[in-house]
Amino acid sequence: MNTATTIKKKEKIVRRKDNWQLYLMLSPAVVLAFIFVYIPFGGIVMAFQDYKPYLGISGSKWVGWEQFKFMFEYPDSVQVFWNTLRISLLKLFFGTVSTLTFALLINEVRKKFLRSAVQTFVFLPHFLSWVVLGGIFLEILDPTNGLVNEALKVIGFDPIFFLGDNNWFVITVVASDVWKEFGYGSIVFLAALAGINPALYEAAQLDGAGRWKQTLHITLPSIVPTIAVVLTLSISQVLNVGFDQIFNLYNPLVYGKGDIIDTFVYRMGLVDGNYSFSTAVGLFKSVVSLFLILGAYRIAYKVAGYKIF
Amino acid sequence: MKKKAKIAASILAMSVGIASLAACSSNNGNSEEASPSPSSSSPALNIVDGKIDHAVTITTVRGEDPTATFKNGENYSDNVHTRWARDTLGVDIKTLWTSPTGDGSYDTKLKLMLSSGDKLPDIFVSTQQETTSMFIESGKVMDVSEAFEKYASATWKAALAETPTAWQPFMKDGKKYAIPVIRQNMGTQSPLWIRQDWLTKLNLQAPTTLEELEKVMDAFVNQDPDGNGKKDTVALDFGMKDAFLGYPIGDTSWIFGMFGAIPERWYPGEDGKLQYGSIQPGIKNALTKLKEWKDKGYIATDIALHDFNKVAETVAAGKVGMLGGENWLMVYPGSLMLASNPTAMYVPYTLPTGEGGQKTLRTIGVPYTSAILISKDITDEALQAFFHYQNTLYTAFESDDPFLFKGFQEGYDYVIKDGKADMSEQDIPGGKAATMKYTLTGAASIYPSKTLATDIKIAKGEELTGSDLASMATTGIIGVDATNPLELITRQATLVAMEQTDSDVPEYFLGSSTDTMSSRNELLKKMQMDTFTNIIYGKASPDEFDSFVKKWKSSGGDDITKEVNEWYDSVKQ
Repeated sequence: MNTATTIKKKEKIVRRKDNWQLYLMLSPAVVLAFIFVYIPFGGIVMAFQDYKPYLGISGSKWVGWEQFKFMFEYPDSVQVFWNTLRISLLKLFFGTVSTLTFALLINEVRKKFLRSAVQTFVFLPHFLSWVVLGGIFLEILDPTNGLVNEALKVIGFDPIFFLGDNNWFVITVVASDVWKEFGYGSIVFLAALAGINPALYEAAQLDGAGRWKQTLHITLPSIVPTIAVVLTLSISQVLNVGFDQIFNLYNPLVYGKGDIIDTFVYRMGLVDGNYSFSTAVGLFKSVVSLFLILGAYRIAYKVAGYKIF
Repeated sequence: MKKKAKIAASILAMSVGIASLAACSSNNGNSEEASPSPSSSSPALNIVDGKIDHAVTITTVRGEDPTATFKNGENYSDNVHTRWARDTLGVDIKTLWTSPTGDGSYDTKLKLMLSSGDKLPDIFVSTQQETTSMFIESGKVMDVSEAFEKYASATWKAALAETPTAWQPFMKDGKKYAIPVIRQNMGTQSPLWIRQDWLTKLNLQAPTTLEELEKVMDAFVNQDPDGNGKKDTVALDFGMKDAFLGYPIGDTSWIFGMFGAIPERWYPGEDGKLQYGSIQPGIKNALTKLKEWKDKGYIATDIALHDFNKVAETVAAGKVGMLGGENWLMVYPGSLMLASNPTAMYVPYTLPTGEGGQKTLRTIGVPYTSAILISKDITDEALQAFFHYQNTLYTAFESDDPFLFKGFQEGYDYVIKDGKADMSEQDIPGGKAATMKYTLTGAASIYPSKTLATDIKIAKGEELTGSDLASMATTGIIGVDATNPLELITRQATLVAMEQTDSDVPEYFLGSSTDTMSSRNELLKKMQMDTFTNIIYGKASPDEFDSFVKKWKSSGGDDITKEVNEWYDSVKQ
């Protein structure tokens, strides 16, 4: 047994030596991550200070957990937390379902031209910024002469003020995000689908399974690990609902369900200059995300037997 | 023993202090061109024919104005203006770095400079109040009161004396820590802009009371003023998305002002103490009226989404009958509207009287744009050189010669033809470039009453004298730009605004955020936006306003009111 482990160790060392080019290629990313991710970690101490820019981190007063106390006592904290979670989970659910469905459907298309044309078409929105899209949505959802409401009027419905009603706002935000991202998100699934052994399908055909049965019993089980990875990664982002989207679409009418942690932090931290407070909220978010990702990882491991790390 | 030594030391220190004070006052007596320095150690500059002998260097940093243009390969550090300052004034302006102001990076860089502990440049301009306050708090900028008193020319002092409140944001413990860059705020108030072509078409008169206003509104919505057969016009437009105040086009202050209060403004109540406009009883009536107008379709269904850009867009689309806005409304977005509809025209009218015939209130912009900060470590020479430079620019208001700055303006702002300034783009070789943006403060020097007097003469079409033209000299726009008729409407709007100056309510609280403001503003603001918007949309009853007022007061509003009044007492003279 002892010898076995030493052999394994040696193998590892040899492998490392063999792959030095790969490590070299990795190094710029490591250096960048170190500079732009790890060094700024030091700024976290701001969350425990009453930070004043002219005093700097070294000169500002220490206040301990004061900022966190303030955060939990702040009257709107609970509301923005639930708003964030609601929008986020809805996005996660509908986003994953639509992405998956699209990937499965496009995978069945056999005409190569049609397939790549559709793919390119649905990729496109991903590359547009919410600043631009925000303006476009404001126009087409305009309650008096927007495109959507004109259409609703034609088929006999009352116009809807999509961005001015709390429930419609959430629906609009989720739907527009799904529309923007499902094409791009399907890349991962398509890659997984391409990796399924064709022999499995041939065997199933021989057993008399139709398209639907093949999907159910071969395709889906084969990509469960991928789904697990995607979900795990998404859950770590559950408190990041997308500041730029909400910020460009929301207004005081929909504070009730549309105001999220990030927009709240923006107003509190950047507009009113409470740097320490916004750092504290950011830190809180990160800690919550850490636990979520650990939890999701365990579930992914148990359900799909998939290891990321 | 130790105690005695301490006392002796303090006596010594005091006597040195007194001696230096004495030196100051004795110097005062025999000063001529330049006054002696406040620190008394260094002599006055040797100025020959307006030029400092042995040029003095001033270091600065610059925010890049997105509208500034350069030609002949020039830039902020080296251009016709800096060469002029060096060669004719003996003031060598050295720009350490520049950074764009448009995206806020200049402001960020200023803050970085402060927090990294770098040595400050001698003189620099800060445009953001919070940033300016940080510099003042840091103790790294000098108390300018004494230097300004000693070195500023009589003209510059007189110009600033017209806007005493401009100093207030930069005061701490009764001392002045920055020199305000002042601006002309006459014309920032809203007149009532009405589509004259619609009025004429529907055979209506401009409204003078709230009731008449509502009649015109009704006609503008229901009588198809744009004649396209669709009910797609709004009678009134204004901004309310991010706040209820602060939209230069689409101002709401006069709408609330018809009911006797202005939201989001601090101004004195009957007891002379500052009060917050958003919680005054008049607001409730205004909100009730706005709800009624919304139900009747006088204002847009999506009014809650209207901000400056959306208002400008709706105006440009030719859908808005009336709105409040600053005097330049016809320049922008008016010119966009003219591009698609050349017969459309907004004409400024005086505001109608409010509810029950009361005087309508409205806001007026602050009389300053930014702050000139001076480093504590500036040498006395550089300090005097800076004042020499600024004083020279202010000589425009003592002169009869409109071309006294042709040294840096000719060939850039204008060319001189038959003794007159020709400002048209094609006549200036290499195109037009506004040199006032090259100056140390990046803005024209303003003497409010003199600048205004010239504006009025132009609006009335009167002949301009040499001194009138000279008073425009620092802007580089000398005379009337015939190529832009919309400029004339701007000046006429100022005239209309001037007929109602007793309606003007400036912001009285000009300090930086108080402690409670920093921690509670977000909550209070959100509460206000929520309540006001929901009342206008009929999702909350107007009585909700009363509970908002109670909640506002108990959630920190009362503390803020106290702090604001403490500040007000400290600057009020």
